Amino acid sequence: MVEPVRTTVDSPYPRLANRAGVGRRGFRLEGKGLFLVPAGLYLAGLTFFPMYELVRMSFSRVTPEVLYKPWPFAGLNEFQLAIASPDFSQAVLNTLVYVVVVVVSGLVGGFVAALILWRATPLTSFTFGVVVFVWAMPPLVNASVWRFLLDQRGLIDSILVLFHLPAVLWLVDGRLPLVAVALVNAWASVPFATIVYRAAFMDIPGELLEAAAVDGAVPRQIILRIILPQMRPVMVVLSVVTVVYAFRSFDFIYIMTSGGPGTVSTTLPYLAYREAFQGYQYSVGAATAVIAVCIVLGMAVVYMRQVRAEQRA
Amino acid sequence: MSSQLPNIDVASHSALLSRRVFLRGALAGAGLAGLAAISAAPTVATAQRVSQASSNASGTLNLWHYFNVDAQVGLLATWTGLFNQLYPNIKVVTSYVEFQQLSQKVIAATGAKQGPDVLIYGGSDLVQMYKAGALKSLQPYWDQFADAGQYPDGVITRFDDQIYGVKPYVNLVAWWYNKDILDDVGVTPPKTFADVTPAFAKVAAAGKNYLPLAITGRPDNQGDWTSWPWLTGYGFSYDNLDQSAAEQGFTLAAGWSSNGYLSKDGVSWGQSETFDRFVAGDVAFMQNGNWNIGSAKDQLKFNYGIVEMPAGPKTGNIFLGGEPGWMGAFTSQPDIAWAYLSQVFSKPGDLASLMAGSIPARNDLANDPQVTGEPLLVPFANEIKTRGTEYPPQGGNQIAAQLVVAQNWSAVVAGQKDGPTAAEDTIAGINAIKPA
Repeated sequence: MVEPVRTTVDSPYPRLANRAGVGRRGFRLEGKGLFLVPAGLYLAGLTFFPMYELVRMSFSRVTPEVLYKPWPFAGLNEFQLAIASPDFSQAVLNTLVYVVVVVVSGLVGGFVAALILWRATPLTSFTFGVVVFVWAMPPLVNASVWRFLLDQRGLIDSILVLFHLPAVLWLVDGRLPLVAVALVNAWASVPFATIVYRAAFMDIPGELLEAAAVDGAVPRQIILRIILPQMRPVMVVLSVVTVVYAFRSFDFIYIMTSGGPGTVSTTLPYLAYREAFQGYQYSVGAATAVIAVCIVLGMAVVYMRQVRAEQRA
Repeated sequence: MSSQLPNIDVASHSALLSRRVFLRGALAGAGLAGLAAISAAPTVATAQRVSQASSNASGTLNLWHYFNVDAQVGLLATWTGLFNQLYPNIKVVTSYVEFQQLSQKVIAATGAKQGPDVLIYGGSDLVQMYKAGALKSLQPYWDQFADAGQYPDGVITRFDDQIYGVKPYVNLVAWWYNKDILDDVGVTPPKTFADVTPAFAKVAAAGKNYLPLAITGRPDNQGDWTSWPWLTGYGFSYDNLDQSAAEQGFTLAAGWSSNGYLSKDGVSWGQSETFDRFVAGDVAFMQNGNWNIGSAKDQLKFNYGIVEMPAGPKTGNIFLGGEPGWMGAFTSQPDIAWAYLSQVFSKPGDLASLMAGSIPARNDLANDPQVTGEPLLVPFANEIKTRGTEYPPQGGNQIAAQLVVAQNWSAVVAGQKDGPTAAEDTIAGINAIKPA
């Protein structure tokens, strides 16, 4: 165990104490701490302040008449209106389905892709470059392309019909629009997961893999018994990031289905947008958005606590 | 088409009108020549403002709009040309903002006490821009406008008894048809709701992969706009939430969806996409607007025609649209802004809208040969007289109600709801809307 380093006020190089052995110590805003100021100002200005205004709006009654005037306090009234909306419960369910599809598809797809692209060959290097290109494409471009591909007369259905298979109404039929958009969103998130996994694979000690091979382990066993356990911390972080990414997804839904048909593909973020910017009920939209934020924060906190508890055990 | 063309007269309609438009196509060359002749001598429409800007005035005029096709952009260029003939030192900067975003950007700019000098916009949320303080009253200028009497009350938008916007032209939907297909299968354009489904069935039964109907089914204001003739045809309205009437309207459309008479992909179509589908040449009927006339002449490679929308048992209403001209609340040069708008409302400026397929609103253009000489406009003109209704509906509650109607219309087009369910959900959704 590493001996904790105890610092004095005069030390020019303050170091964090070991949390497990000593307990948390605060750090002083000198030296390295000062470098946090710009980031702190950025977060304060572009994250905390907008969040504060969002929460303040959700507790006020804000319509175009008072948008640029003092907002009247409304207590929990806007939250009641948001929850009482006929579309709210459906939007919550849609959001959970959407998140599950994106997270599962993204994590699994990213893992498989990273395995395939692990070994550096000219082909894998080129493919990895394509993967990064897809990741870098704006969501607007991705969503627009897929909207055309999934159209009833688009490429995918045209191929199905060519092979005498029935065309599928991807963006129309039943619950399919929600799943279709989620899969497209997952497709766009796979590159990020691939990059993260691939980098993590590099840290797996080569001796472990060699020893497993010597012991006669087949590839499936190596993946399940050695690689996956090594990836657990990475998967924790990646899953939290992907959950947040999926939960706040708006652009794919906006481009591909506008939340429809009807409200089939309306998630909480899209519902918040619709209430605020189509219905001009800004505070109701804010309340919906705050509820969505609370849900994802709650999920993240619970999950992280469970994982840390498992790790300690 | 009848050889006896009725006067195209919007004066008979007295309700407030507004509508966003998507226009396509090129300007008619002959119309340009006529316009040039008229515009050579500026008319008295340019005179008399609260205070008249000097013709030597210089600077920049910012105009925001959502016109995204050739005919619309050409219309702006024509208006700008008329303005610059009188104010050659004013640079007009036209900024395109996507329709769905324009009102939000105007409202957002209001927060910074900024925004356009002139706004050309006809969305359903005009009243929200007014409430946010984004618009400036035209009343003082209109009171001194020599041509004010040429505009019927129905094209003037007032808030709190003050004139804020005036619509130089009217747009609405009618029933387009592919004459080649109809001749091929032996069908005539339906005149009533009772004729519609049998006509579709006959087209579908021809076995030639014709799509009977192209129609918009998006779950937003475009879906609401499209559904309105069918719902009101049975007596439904926001003032009369008749569930039975709504059920009949939705059931009619649900039958088309279940029988494959329309493309379920229409749930993602706006009116532009619907027209694009019609251009393909395998669609028998389309519900769409006069703003496509210019594009149709250029893009449709088959024989086509336009008739009035089929009438329901209660006839049914058709929303009347068009883009009013507005003045931004924070313009630093209202006199210059009005000088531009006065050209929009002038006789040559209003006539220019005809070239984009719209129906000029001025009384003195009702009998103009360039207006009455377009046979494709006849059905629209008739509908204005007999079935036109206010758009957008007044009040924040009705904007929310429109979304409820649109969502259920979209669900019906997609085949996800039947008529009774859609009607029940519509009534429940509208009743659940809290007062604004």
